[in-house]
Amino acid sequence: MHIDEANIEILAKQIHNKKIRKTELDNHFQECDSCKNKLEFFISFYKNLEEEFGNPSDQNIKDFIKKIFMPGKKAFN
Amino acid sequence: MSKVDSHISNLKNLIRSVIKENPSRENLIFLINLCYKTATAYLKIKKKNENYFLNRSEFTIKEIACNAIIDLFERNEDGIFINLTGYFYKNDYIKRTEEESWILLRQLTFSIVNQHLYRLNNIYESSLNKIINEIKLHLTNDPRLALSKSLGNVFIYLKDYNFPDNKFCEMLPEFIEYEFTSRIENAASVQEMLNTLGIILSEKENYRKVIPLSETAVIVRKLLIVNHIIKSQNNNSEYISESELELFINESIKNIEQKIQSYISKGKLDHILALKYHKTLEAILHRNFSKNGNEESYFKIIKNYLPELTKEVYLKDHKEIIVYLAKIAKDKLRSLIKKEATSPINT
Repeated sequence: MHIDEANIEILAKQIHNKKIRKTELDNHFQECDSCKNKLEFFISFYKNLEEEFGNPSDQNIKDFIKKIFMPGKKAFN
Repeated sequence: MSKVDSHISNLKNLIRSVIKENPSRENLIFLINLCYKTATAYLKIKKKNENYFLNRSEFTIKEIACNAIIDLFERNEDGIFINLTGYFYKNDYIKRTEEESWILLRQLTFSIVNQHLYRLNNIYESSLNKIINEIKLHLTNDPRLALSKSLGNVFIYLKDYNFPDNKFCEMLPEFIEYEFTSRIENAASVQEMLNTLGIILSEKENYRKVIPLSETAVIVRKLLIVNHIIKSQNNNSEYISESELELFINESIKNIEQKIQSYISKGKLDHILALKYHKTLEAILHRNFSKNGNEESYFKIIKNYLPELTKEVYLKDHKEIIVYLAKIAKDKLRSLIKKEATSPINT
């Protein structure tokens, strides 16, 4: 089953936030290399992005960044 | 990281505050920082994956990210951020959720970074929008393909296909790209590429008969760039005489003799067919590199030596070998020409 990019991105954020484990998704992604590659890409991207942000001292900024990393509902539906 | 106005609680409000007139300095710097970090995180993945264009660049990731973000925040005479404003209004960001606003900003940043990488490499780059518009124009009268919008994305699909069908996956862009490059001749036009796309979509079973328009445009752009590189490499042949070219063609053909012999010994070719291949490859090189040569499809060229050959038989029995041998011979010939053209004696 094909998973659209927006939802792959949400799943990657959930993995990044340790809400789910990547292995839990193995069954869903084993059929499609394209989806699997996109998931890997987004996991790497959010890891890199978090490193770029570092640990800001300002609480307002912290809250703002937190929202970017927070997995939302299915997008563009 | 810089501060943001305390009343700005989410990204959508931040974007709105920046694209309106006279945004606060704090908000503007914050959004620039956000895009810069997004660009850097993206470029680091490209670096890890040994991206061709990034590897060729003499700039660091931070320099590339910085320059790309300068492009993103370009202002017109009235002080309006033309790229940001145009993009977010076009995507109707007011109606978007916070999640969708972030995805839009991320996609825009990735796109600007990619455009910047192409430009840094001094490679011909028609902006993706221009290519997308050209594809759309061709598709208005295309008998086989049409456009459809689904889940916020525009897709190209086969007209006689029930769209969408979630039973199958879309083809990987890399797979379509491979199919394209093995079927498309040098200097193919956008229309010819779309015709080929129609054939690929209709032939491949077990895949959805759709491809996102944006991914098609990226593939078309890559092929246009490859065409440009090949053309510029071939132009080196202007620096050498026809007699030198003849020598180099002979040398290049000699280079593939061993391959042909191995096909004969494995029983894949007989001596008569090998001779016809030999002549075909010589003709391909002449047509591609000679000043008076006209590029023609490999099928048309081989037909001069095998007049009874049908397209179906060519595709089934000959194409794979001819394309492979032609690639080796052309690479060899290009390197010989380039070596000669850039030799100190010629300067």
